[in-house]
Amino acid sequence: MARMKFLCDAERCIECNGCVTACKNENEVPWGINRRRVVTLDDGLPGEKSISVACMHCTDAPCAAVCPVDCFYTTEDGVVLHDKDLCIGCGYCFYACPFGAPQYPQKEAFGVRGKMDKCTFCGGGPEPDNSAIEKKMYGANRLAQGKLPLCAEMCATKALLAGDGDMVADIYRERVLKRGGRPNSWGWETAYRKNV
Amino acid sequence: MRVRTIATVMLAALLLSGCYETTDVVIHEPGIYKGAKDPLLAVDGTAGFEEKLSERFMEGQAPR
Amino acid sequence: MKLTKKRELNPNESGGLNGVLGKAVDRRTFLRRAGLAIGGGAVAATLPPSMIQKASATVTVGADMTDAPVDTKLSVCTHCSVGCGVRAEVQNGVWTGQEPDFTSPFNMGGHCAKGASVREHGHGERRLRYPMKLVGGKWKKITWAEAIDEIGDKILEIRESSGPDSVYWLGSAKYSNEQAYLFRKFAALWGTNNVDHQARICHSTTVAGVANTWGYGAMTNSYNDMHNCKAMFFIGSNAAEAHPVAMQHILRGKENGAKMVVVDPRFTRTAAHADHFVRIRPGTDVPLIWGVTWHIFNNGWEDKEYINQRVYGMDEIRAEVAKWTPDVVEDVTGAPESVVKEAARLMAENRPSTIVWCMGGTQHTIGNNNTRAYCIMQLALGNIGKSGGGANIFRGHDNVQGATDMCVLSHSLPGYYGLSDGSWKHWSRVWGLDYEWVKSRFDTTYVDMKPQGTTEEGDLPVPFANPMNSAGIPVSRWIDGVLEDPRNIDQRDALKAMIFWGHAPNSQTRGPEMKKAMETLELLVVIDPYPTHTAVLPDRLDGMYLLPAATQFETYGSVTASNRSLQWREKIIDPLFESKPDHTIMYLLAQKLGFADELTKNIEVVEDEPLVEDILREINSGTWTIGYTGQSPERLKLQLANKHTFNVTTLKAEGGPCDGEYYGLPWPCWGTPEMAHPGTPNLYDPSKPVAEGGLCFRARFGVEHNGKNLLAEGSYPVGSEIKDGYPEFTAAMLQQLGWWDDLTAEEKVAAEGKNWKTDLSGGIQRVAIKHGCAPFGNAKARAIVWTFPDPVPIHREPLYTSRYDLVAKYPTYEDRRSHYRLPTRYASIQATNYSTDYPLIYTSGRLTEYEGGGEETRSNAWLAELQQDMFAEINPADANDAGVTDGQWIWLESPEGAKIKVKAMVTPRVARGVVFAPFHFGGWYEGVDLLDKYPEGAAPYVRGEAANTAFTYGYDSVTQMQESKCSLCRISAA
Repeated sequence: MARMKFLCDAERCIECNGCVTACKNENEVPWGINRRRVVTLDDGLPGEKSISVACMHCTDAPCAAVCPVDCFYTTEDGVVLHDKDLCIGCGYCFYACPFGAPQYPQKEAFGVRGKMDKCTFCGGGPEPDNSAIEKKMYGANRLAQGKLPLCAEMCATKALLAGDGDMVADIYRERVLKRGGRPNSWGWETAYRKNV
Repeated sequence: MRVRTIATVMLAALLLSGCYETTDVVIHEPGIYKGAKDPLLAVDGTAGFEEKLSERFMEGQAPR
Repeated sequence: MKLTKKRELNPNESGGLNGVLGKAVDRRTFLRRAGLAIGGGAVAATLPPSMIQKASATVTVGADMTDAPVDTKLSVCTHCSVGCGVRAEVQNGVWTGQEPDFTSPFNMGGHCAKGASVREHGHGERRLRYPMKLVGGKWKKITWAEAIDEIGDKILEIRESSGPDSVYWLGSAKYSNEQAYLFRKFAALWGTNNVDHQARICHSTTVAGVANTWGYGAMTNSYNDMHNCKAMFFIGSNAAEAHPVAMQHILRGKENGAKMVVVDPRFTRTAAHADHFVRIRPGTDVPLIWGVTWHIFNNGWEDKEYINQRVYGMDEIRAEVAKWTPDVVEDVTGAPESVVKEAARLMAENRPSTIVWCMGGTQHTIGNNNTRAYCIMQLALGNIGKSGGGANIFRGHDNVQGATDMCVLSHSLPGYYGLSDGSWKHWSRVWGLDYEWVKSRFDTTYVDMKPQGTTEEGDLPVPFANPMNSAGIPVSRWIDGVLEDPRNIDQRDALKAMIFWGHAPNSQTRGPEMKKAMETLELLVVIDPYPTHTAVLPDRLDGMYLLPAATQFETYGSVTASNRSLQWREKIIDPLFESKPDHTIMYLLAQKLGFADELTKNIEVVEDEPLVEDILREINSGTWTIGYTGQSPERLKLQLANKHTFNVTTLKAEGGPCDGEYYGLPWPCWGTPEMAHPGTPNLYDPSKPVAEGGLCFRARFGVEHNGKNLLAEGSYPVGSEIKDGYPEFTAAMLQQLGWWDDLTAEEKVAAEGKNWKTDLSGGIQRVAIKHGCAPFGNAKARAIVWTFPDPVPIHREPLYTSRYDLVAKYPTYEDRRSHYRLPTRYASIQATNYSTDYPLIYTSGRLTEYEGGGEETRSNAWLAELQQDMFAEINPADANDAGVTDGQWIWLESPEGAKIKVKAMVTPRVARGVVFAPFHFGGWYEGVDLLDKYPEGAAPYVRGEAANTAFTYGYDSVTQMQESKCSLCRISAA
């Protein structure tokens, strides 16, 4: 049984925002809603690092734990999805999520997207797969088409990986080994001391 | 007269019946997802599905 | 508050509050009762129409396209020179999906923000929809026929009164190769060399400097070849933001063990991934490179055998480098000895090592010195002509390499043939036109009055007998072509009409003067998918037209990536609204101007559209100099269908129908298509036979200089029958070598009296390669370019320098009376010290989300959302000195009096004393948003002040490249 996971390799992420616009492109999310964003730490300083963040599809998802109407469900592969017809847009999940993944449209609601919106791992929602209604409410359902999230598939440097956690880990482990274990970038020692 | 009474009662009954709440209500029970059933769940996790995604992963994300 | 996991609750538990809540009507039922159907209609009404409608004035396609058949089209991203494959899904003529193109060996599916958003161009919500004309200061819709007629009449009137040189044809790096070629031919048949494009202001100093060092002015290796590097040296290149997908290859190289050095005034996102960072003062590239080279020579790290065999003039370089001791380097550049030495050590001890440079190095008054210094450092290390080494010069636009090769340039004809009579005769022959007729198109009333000049390519001086042979006004200087006193311009009259055909004016410096020039012109025409900054900058009432051009996704043809690979683009969708492909517009205009038949003599025209394949065949038949002869449309289409068969490191096809070919048949792809040359993956690499993509340095500068041999000594490509250097091949040389009879009877007829560049049969090239030789000869690279103002690259302080104390030691050039037809100032500007009143260095660069002038990308909602404000990066110390805080509006003023209003981004990314601004913004001028001046609905989502408005005078001494990386400014709170 696969467990779908995202992993962003900070050594490869260049903050190009390719993942962000790929998500916009595939899911047609409106201006102001960012299912995925790139966060840069120590911007402009030695040790600057960027990572791309979206819903992490937690195994024990805090959003689901706090949802007062239980609109979340998890697929066999560990993708956390939700039913917008049940969602009341309360924002409780936003408190609970450690990654700031849940998004709420501003007024002038994007139709049903007045409800909470978040990354679906390109798995759509509880409507007929790849139907017009699913596309409109939840965006693309690539999983049903045998494809993986477009953000990762289009990542400029293959920093963002998405798929079965074991396969993702294999690729990442290989890279770490090749790099000799720790980041090789200028200022690392200054920023984080030697041998960290 | 009787006919008229019966007709009135029937009409009233008919009109009132429209006031019943629809039965298509989701009653919330804590911890239970009662949303629509995602058809993805029927295929998700099956061998064919997993294989397809693994192939896709190797095609697009594994080093070439 | 205690958060309880639901799983731990007993789902069957009832009673208490649970029962009450349990009976509550849920949101879904509420919505239904309220009559808010979840069905398609209500939702669709709130969606952007683009998602569900074909963006056309007439056709509307139904909302639900989920069941419509999907047609897949392959194209190439139109935003930078990496050449990322784009895989488009089209339903009912609407671009409904974009998938990663895993088969492309360039991007393997990856895209940056721009590439991942190109489908938005298929929506075209902010596009120019139909031809428009300015009437009394208002935009008015007109028909194509009216537009062509009125523009044509005006142009012909100007031709009558002022001559053909008064109309300026400003082309584009966004053209396909075929359009670029047709455009250059168009200008030629109109009778002017006043034609140019973005290459002038991006890599012209590279092309001139590099071609004059070893033969060709292009990237020597490829992005993919960087997997093989042991070290990489970036200077003035911020690949992470300017060429994001290139980082896939760069970081792969790094993971393979390569050391990465970044030299830049800013701690860029690229620097954040480097092993070693060297911060320099803007405009001190030559001192830094000589500083590095000083350590190379001082430690004996140079490749002596390589230099002896393949380099001329290194001794003169040694003499110059000796002056750049570590203390002098630190004083001038700001980089301390230990840091510079470490950079040198990393490059020397980890060979093959490559160098990468971009606009940070090229856009200077001494840009040509910078590019040559980079080359020389690599020659000293013996890195050129090696896999993993090379000069990996990253070009900017998607087809700036191709448009440069097709010479949409004021100083050359396609294939860098130059402007000599021989070049014109060659191309007239290819075009099937009478040379005398072509000559008659030029302004013959203006002859025999000009002094001697040199062409940029370093050919022998060309007498300015005719404007046909003299380099035209470059795009960087069109402003002066309009405003300068006509008596000072080396042509009959000043410029009267400007045709901006795919060019953003905000990519050029000197905003206030540009505005004035635009207001002075009699005619101003914009041909572009978007209105651009041109539409709104000038305060005009009339004499201005906007014609909607189609994007490259709405037409098809070939495009050349930075690594010289040609890729074929398929048409994804039909032109949106009333737009037309550029080559169709060229044909329509040529028809009006009376030379359409000559323009398309060898080209089939279907419904006013010249056949793209025929144009490429004409290119193939004439572009022998750089080997654009083997890439027939058929070969390119075959590669398109077999992308997946190419190795992603070597770029060589392994099996399949393209077996043995390199991806994109990187030029030179010698001989005819039938000869089936595989293309040249790495230039000047003698480890392969020429027939398999090997090469040596080009014999371009004669065989001897100052009594010394310029030909290679003991170095030659594998399999060469001549085991030494040799000059370029001519018919006479074949006869001397006894190889003449290897030509077929037909080839002999064509080759008689010709050379490898002018033999239209390709026989001379074929026979040379058959004997293992390079058609262009086998020579040494030259470290000194004796035809340039500075034969040995030396440092000269910028015109607006922050270190005025260094001017005495490193002064700029004397003013020149005529350079590219215009007076060009140097010393008279540097005579004044501006650094007291304008204490900060002003520099510029790219953002990932936008490209070039940015109009197209700022009109793309998915991108615009990510960068909504024009800003300037300011060091915290300078911000405090000016009393400015992060996010505050500030005025940035230039010493020439321009001022721009931008937001302050206070960051240590820039050094103290340096201000950086991105150059993609436009639509504002000196604090005012020009939104009202755009045609309705065609304004980009994001507008902002153009960084270049505040950039100042300054042009390269060889190519007229603008100085837009080093000026001065001062800031204050707005």
